[in-house]
Amino acid sequence: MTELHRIAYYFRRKHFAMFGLILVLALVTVAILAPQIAPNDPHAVSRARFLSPGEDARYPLGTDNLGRCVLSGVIYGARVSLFVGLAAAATSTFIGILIGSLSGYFGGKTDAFLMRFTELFMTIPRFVLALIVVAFFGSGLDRLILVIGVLSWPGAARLVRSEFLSHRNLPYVDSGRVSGMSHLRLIFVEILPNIIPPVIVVATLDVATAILLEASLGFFGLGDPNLRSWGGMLSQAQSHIRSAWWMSVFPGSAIAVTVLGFNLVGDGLNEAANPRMQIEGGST
Amino acid sequence: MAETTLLEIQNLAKYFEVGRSLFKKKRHLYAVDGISVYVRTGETLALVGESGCGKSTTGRLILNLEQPTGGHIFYRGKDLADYTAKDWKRYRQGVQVVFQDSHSSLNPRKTIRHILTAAMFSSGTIPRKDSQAAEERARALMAEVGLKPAETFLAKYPNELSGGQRQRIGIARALSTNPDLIVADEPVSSLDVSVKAQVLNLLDTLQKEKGVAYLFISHELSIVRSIADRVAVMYLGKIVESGPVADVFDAKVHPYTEALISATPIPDPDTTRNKKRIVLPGGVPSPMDPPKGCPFHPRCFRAEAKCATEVPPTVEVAPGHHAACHFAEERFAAFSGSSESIRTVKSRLCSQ
Amino acid sequence: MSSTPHTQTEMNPQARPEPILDIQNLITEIRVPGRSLRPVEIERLVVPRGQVVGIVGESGSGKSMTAYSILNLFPTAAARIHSGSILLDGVDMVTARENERVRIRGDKVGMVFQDYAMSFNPVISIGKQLMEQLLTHGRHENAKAKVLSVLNEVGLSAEVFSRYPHELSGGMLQRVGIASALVCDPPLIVADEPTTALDVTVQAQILELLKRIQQERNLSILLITHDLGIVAEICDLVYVMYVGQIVEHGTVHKIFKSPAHPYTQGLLQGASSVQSVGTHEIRVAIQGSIPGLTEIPSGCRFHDRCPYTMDICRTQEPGFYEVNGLQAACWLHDPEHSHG
Repeated sequence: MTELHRIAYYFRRKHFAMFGLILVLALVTVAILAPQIAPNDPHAVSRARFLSPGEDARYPLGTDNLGRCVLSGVIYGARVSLFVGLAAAATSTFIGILIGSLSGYFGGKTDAFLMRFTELFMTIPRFVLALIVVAFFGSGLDRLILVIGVLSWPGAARLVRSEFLSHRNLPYVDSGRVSGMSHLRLIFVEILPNIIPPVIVVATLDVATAILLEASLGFFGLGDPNLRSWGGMLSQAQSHIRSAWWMSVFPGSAIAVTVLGFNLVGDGLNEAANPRMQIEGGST
Repeated sequence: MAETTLLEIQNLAKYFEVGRSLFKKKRHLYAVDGISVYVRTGETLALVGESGCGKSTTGRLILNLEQPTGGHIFYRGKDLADYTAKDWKRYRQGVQVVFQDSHSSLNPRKTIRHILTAAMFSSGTIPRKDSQAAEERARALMAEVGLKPAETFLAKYPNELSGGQRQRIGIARALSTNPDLIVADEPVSSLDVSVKAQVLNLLDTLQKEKGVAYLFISHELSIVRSIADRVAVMYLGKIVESGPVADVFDAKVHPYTEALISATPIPDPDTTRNKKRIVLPGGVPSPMDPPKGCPFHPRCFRAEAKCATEVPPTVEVAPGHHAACHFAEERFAAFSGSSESIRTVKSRLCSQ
Repeated sequence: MSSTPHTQTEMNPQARPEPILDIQNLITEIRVPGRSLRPVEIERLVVPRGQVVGIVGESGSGKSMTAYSILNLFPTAAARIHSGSILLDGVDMVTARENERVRIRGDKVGMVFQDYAMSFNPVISIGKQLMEQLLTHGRHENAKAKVLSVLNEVGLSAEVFSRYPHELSGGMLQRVGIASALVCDPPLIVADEPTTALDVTVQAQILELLKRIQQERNLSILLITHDLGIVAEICDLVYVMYVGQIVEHGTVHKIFKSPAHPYTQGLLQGASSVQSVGTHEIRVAIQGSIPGLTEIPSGCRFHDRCPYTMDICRTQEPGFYEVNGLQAACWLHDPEHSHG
């Protein structure tokens, strides 16, 4: 409880973190209420092609080459981006916790093996591998999430490992051992709850990365073809970039704002969790 | 050994490998170097010494948190090396621990209720399905360690408690498995003076009520003096003197014991300023490179040539009172001579 | 609150009348989310020249914050002096400007810390770090010779000059800590738990060293500790602190022989019963534990742990009363309220 209070206090005082939080909350609201907010069906094709913003009150941000509403696309795109971002970050955090906790708790040879494995994954160029996988197995949302998640866990794993290393010999863990507690219980019931705060920080930042990766894949035409996503909209805007700027500017801004929002929140949480890092100006 | 011996350790040793790398030869840190000591049912054995003397490692070896390099630990007459799964279960219930740092010894994310019941379940004291029994036991424990009302405290998190209260929880957790031996590693060292006395009183009361034995690890001689039945003084991984606490503290057969006692300030200006103080030169040598012969000889005020070459044997100067010093018998004779003379003077005075 | 005149300076007639350190009405505050806490509220604390004064208290009593206040230098930016005066050799550390304070720290007062290991830069040799201090105080001449002589004074060989902190043992580092406090020849040393992190045999060495240096230099020392044994050992005067306030002060012999404040009495009884041989007797303990700064009791701050609490203790803060040559802030000694 006190931790929540501290974070709340910190966010109130740090305007950047608060700004990020407001952005993220606004996005989530938009995504949830998309059917209510969006003026049009995002997929509905119309004859009103290449309408510029303001030209027709029914299409506030204009239309694209197929006459689809850009605003509705951006609003529905938030659903795709947030869903992929959150689900992929959850996947990578889950794998990271699994590998990192075993590695840090047992140490020794287990640690050496798992960490080499982790480093191997870090050396793989994520984007290229994602391209290959999607190209081979198709690009449904589930596959996108899996690919992004499976490729993003090493950061979380290394963090979890280092946290476990510092906890595994603390007296509370030792006294669990003395009482005959099993390794699994010590890892997941006793130690894990203690390292959740830093993991949430990394997971938040991972959401931003995943959203960016999803948008990049969409931009290369590898997004889910049945959904309007920001990346996909950008991809279609490519060939009309000179004539219809609104087709690229609005989805592009949406990506930028979302990534910014999650990064600000992540940084804010990080600093709130490590108050020693902040050096506040005060009179001496 | 008396049949009431609960725990006995023989020639116990623990060497840690340090600095092993591609370019360095591996070296050993001689944390515990062949110690033998025993704890009887219901008594308190204090293990005293300065930092790095191996007292905490000894505790961890007994708790099976470290594996010994050599030697044996017998609990209720059976060597831990020959233990079966069933024996281990009994050991988990029979031997418990209280740590120094009350802050890190309780899981900050768990309620006191969880902390206590988890220990009962894991050790098999209470079967996992019987949460009702665990709850009752947890409440009873809270009453025993003097935290009332139990219900309020059980729902709290460790950071909502004071240091003394946390240490009481630590004691309650140790008691939760009904142990007959508690390894207490500096249990009151991080507590304030006023709270220290409360917790020591609690430990004494619990011992009287439950007959639990303590292996009391401490660097504070003043505390050991008041809580222990027997004491073993450690220096560089070895026991240099052991015996009933009054005998060891009075006779001070080993020069290190004498120096340790004289170095401890007494909270009374007249006594502490007038007592003879032995100030030892230098610090404790590195346990990676212990001195040859008697480990204490480089700092010893009594050392002679042979101390640097010959390891002193452990001799029994009086029943149950051992010391590892070349001059143990001579020093004990000098002490008992002086106390003899005091006694004769006293008796003469009385007869007059 | 009324306070009877202080009389410590009269005990040392040779000393100059003006004390080396005179703290009056000091309030130090820490600003935390939503409020301001006051870890130190000292009405008066005096260190006469050439004497060893102990501040004794449990953790949370504000004794370390008092040390930081004297230097007007805090480990956290959230802490600052709220009001009061700290006269260090006649200069007020509260109103002095920062550049003046920098000069005073070191020139007038040296500080010895508990975590000696933290007080040195690990990558600079000991000698350089000590010389640095002389140079910042504008003493360029014979800096090296001065450092070597101070190292010698604290019982370290000249080779320590070129050593690095990690090459020294805890006891040696604390000697360097004392050398560093002495290097600018200040008349006052503030030592915050100087031996708490040390082994007992090494602690004995450091206490002997402090005693010797104090006599040789006729130093004034303000020793902050929780250990009543150390106070008994080297202090002339004692201030007992509880939750930020002084509750009793006087000479060491009087405090230990006939303490007038129930808190001091409890502390001493607790300490001496822990000390006694004769096993398993019930030790005298003060009930409860020291309250946090967010839960300071009303009236006398000790009233909820005190065995003699009266009605007035719960509502009104006591002033100081003179009892057998001691000053104690306790209603028991108020003629109107004491039951005799």
